[in-house]
Amino acid sequence: MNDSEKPAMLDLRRLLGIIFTFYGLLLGIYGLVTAHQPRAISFNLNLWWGILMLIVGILFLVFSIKPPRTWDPDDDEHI
Amino acid sequence: MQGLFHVSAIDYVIILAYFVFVLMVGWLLRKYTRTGEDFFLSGRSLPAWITGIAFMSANLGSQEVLGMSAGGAEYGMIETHFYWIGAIPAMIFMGLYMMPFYWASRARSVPEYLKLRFNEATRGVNAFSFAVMTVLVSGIGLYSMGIVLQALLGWSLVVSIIVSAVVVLAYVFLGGLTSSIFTEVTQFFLICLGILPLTIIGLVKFGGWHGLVSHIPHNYGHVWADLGTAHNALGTNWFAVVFGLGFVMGFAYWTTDFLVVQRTFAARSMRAAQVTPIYASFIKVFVPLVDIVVGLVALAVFPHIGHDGTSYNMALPMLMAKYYSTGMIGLGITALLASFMTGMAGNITAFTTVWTYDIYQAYINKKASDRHYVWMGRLAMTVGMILSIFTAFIAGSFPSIMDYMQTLFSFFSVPIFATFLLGMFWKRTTAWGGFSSLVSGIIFACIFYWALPFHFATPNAKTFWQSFWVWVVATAIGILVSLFTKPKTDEELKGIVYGVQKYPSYKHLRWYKRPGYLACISLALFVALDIIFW
Repeated sequence: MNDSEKPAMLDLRRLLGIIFTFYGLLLGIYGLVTAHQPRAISFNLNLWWGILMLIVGILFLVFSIKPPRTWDPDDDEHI
Repeated sequence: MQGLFHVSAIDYVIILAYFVFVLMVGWLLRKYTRTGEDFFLSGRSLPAWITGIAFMSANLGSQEVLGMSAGGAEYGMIETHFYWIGAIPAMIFMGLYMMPFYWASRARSVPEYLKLRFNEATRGVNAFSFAVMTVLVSGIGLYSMGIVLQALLGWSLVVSIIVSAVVVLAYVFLGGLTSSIFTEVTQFFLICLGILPLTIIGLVKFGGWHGLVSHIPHNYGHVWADLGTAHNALGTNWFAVVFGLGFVMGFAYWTTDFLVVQRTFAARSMRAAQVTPIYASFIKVFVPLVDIVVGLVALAVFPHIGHDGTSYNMALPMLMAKYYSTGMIGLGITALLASFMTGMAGNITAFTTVWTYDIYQAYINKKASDRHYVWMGRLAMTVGMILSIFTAFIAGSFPSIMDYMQTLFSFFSVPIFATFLLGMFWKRTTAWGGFSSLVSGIIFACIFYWALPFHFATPNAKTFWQSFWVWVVATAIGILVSLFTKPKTDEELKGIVYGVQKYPSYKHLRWYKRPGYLACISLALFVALDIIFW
């Protein structure tokens, strides 16, 4: 297999970053604007969980800045 | 028809975003998917963290999350055996001792390994049984998704089955195995983020683990305490759990079921392939937090669950309806939907690979171009999906989907495990020894299930014991036939059998890169958790 002819594999970390940043923003802002709460709990779950998802999403985006290695030098086989 | 949840616009935006996301992933992956190796094996290029999560997550599909939270509410922590003894030792064994042979053989599928190790007939039996079983399982996934969406959202059964089947088909059609693996990893994070709030709310509300346990029957907080005798929810004692579930069923599933094994083949090196199941084991021990413990919380919150017209299967949805507001509901539904869809995607891609390489290439068209096999793979996906939709409606006539799956699984999977263990670790095993152990195992499973007059307290107990005895019979017959037939030469077995091939050494690497060290840590964690929650 010739690596130079193939594009490097799509970075899953970036994809995860995009979806969770989107969900985090959506849920967080929605929680902030509406402050809907189910009767059973006393805090704004949408807001706090939205913030947590936003952090997860941003972390994935940060990790994806460095392009993925297509080959790990440690994986050379020593038999 | 009105469902359990009140779904509003924001929830639909979240659900729709997931559909758009998976289709986008498929669309982006299409240009990385040119050759057969790309389509069926992700180009053998993925890093271990991706294949590791996918290895575990491929199994976290439809039956798991709802079924195991129901199991938690109905039986308590004893259900954890399916995750701990039933998975962790198998995953570690797979990574340390089996993966080197799988990987070195360069087989593209489990049936293909059987062809390399034994003969064409052994491959044929495994390929056909796997293809049939996978389509059935995929259909069950579709059906259970349909009824859940109907109950929760009031969506039409037929429409939700067709729509999700089409979406899944679209993205695996474009990206092949990589699509399937990427959405499995996404699904894993979605499940955690969509369900963990319930676990946290439950533990906080009842004052931690001990508080929670004090709100449910006293033995529900224990894993091993009731296994001295068969008077427990599983209906069997520790021996059947350790040897039937743990040794035979767990090993059979995690080391030979091509649905999960295919993830390791996508790893980019031998080391990555070896650590794939070991990484998975680290996640697997904590999966009870998003289903079994949720079931315990449901039991504490709704003490009459399972009675008064409520179903244990509703444990998780009832908690969501109580604690989630608009927005979180959308996320929770998306997590469930994602787990249904990835389960289907995994089955369809595994089915496609076996169909294309082990049935079509092996028996129908031996010498076609690579491009032709990719085309055939895409055709098989489409046909497989249509068959699944039909199966979905067959699945509806069985009372318990979980039992049905286990029944099927023990008929086909356990004999293969017996064959594998003999073939990989005893080089004297002959081609016909392997074949006879596989076939006799399947036949004995049928005899045990239908013809032997034993009575078992629960379907689980029957499955555990059946698995154990099927393994004993298949192994005995395999050894017997091997002793009377001609063994293969070392030359033929080079690279694929213990005793001919040496294990790779990783002594030059730092400890956290070495499969052996990681396996020891995982094993220690597994033992510690079993002791803490004995």
